[in-house]
Amino acid sequence: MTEHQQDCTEEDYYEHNCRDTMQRVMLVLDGELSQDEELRFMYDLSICSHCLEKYKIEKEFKLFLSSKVEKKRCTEDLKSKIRLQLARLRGGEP
Amino acid sequence: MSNELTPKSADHLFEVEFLPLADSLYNFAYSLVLNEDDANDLVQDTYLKAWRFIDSYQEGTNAKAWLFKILKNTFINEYRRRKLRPAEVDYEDFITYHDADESTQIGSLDLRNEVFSRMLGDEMTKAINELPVDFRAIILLCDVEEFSYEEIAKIIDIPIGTVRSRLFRARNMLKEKLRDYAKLRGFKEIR
Repeated sequence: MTEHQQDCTEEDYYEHNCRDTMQRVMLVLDGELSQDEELRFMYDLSICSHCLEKYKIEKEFKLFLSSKVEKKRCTEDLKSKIRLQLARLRGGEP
Repeated sequence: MSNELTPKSADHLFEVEFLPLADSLYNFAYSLVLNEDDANDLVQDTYLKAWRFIDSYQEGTNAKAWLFKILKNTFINEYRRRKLRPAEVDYEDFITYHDADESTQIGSLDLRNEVFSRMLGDEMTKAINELPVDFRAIILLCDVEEFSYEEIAKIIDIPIGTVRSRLFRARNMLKEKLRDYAKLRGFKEIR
């Protein structure tokens, strides 16, 4: 039993592996696991407080990243310019 | 213009599906070149190429991924042409080295600390912009634009396994930078 699994029962020990669960944290947060794999992952979290804590930290990081990063926007001038260029192409101009 | 796609339906496609993606494309372009002039050029070139190569677009497929791929290819070709990527071989070696080094350890950064909750968006943006271009691009594609690994693999022409390892590495590099910022603000890390 690893040092992080003190709270796992003897029966859980054969089912759960912290290292394997940690490898799936990023995948579950990115929506890359199947429904069955996700269920299995959630089960792993339910039996290991260490993995649950790590999962919460990573989830917070992903939310922080997507919400804090500046999103640049295309100016209306550029959109107009693109429309004009496309109109010229439609009109057969090179 | 494609025989299958009339000029009218191409116009419709651009107005309804392609042009509404201009903000996302611009954001991606800016993250690659980090200046407004080049980002403007990149987005314009992307739309012009989309018009020229509309034959290769299959209606009903992922328009966003298709346009992002054109933009990324334009970026690579333009940068190679202008030779704005010095020491490209060394850089690719660097990427390959890091892609091969997928650690099983996840570098944690507990953002529940109040230092992080006060961290401004411009600090996060600055930290991302300091990453090498391939790393900041993959973070933007996954965490901002929410493309799947499969879509990202197609956009940047790398295997899905490489998407996964590069993303892993990029996030860890970002965490290190944020940790440095936090330390400057007096955050004492407890490991």
